[in-house]
Amino acid sequence: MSKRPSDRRRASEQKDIELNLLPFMNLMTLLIPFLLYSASFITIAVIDSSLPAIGAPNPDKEKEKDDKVPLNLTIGVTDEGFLLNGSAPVLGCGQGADASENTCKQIPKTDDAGYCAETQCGGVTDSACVPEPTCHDFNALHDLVKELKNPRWEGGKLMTEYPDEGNVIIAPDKDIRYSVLVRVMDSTRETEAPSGGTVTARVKGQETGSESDCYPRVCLFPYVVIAGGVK
Amino acid sequence: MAVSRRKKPGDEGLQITSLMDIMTIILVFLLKSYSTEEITVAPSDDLRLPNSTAVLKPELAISAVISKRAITVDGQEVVPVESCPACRVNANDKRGNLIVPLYERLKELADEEKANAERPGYSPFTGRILLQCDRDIPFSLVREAMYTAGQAQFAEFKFVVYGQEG
Repeated sequence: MSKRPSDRRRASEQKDIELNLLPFMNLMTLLIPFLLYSASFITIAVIDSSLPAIGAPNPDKEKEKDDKVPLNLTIGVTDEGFLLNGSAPVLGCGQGADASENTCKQIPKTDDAGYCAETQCGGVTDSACVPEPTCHDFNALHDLVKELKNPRWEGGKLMTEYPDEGNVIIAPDKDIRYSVLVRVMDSTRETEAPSGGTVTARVKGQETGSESDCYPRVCLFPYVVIAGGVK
Repeated sequence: MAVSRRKKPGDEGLQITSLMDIMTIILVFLLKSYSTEEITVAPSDDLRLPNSTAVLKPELAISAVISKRAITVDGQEVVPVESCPACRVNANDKRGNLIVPLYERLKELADEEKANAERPGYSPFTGRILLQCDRDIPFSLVREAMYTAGQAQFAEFKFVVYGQEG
């Protein structure tokens, strides 16, 4: 059966309607170059560090400290490796027979070629970046600092040794490269949360015992003071 | 006469629907990664920031760039690094760490910020300074810059690094 003339006209009219995308295309071609130009594909972050405040000591604070020996964790970064100092038994300071002998923990450089290539060149070795045969062992440093702080779960609460101590003094030698200093700060800042519980972000006014200031990780020593250096 | 079913030449428009799909996806992706970070870093061969696991977001502050070539404060070159041993004075400074041109520039900026802080609407002087240092410069230069900044009353250092994607 043939269509009526009026039907045929309506059908052809509907088929012809098309969205006019040209203005939208114009917008897109302008927006995309603009956004591509201003897009940043690298993330910038900062690491805090302060100079120690100079002033009269707070008498209340001093009194509080009396019954506790402050940790005073110090990490010397030398050409041979790391020299640690502090009052924690893990660091083994002050137990030598001779008082002048330095018994504190030392972490020598590692000669693991793969690790050195990763830490110094980001795993890419070409003519632009030749890794040195030995390099600072940041993993060992991280493990030691983690052992010192010892984050763990006790009765559903996140516990650490030295909960009030967040300061670390870093004293690099004058020839130590800046990137090494940054890696040291990274190694001592935080660690993975221990298994056995869920770390939560700190909410003001709510104390759950499982909160971490470095959520979703656990803080080790996030407050860095940079000192003059060993030599 | 048989009616041709083929369209007349000139009738067919450009098929831009698929192109539109691509464009829309790119647009959404770019809008998502559009950053409104307050600080800008101009990477070059002389200034390659170190990578770090830090996640702290940068805040607006006076920015000192220590590249392999020169020390720059707020986009203005202050002193070239090579000439630096000669730019220090030991007269008032026993340790010989002060980088004099940098000190003068930072002192100027600190005084300016302090004068501004007294006006309504300005934030107080915080002594905050962003340090963008090349990853290969020796610590001695970083220390000298920090010491100099400290003498100019900038005591709150923010080391600018490349963070992790996230």
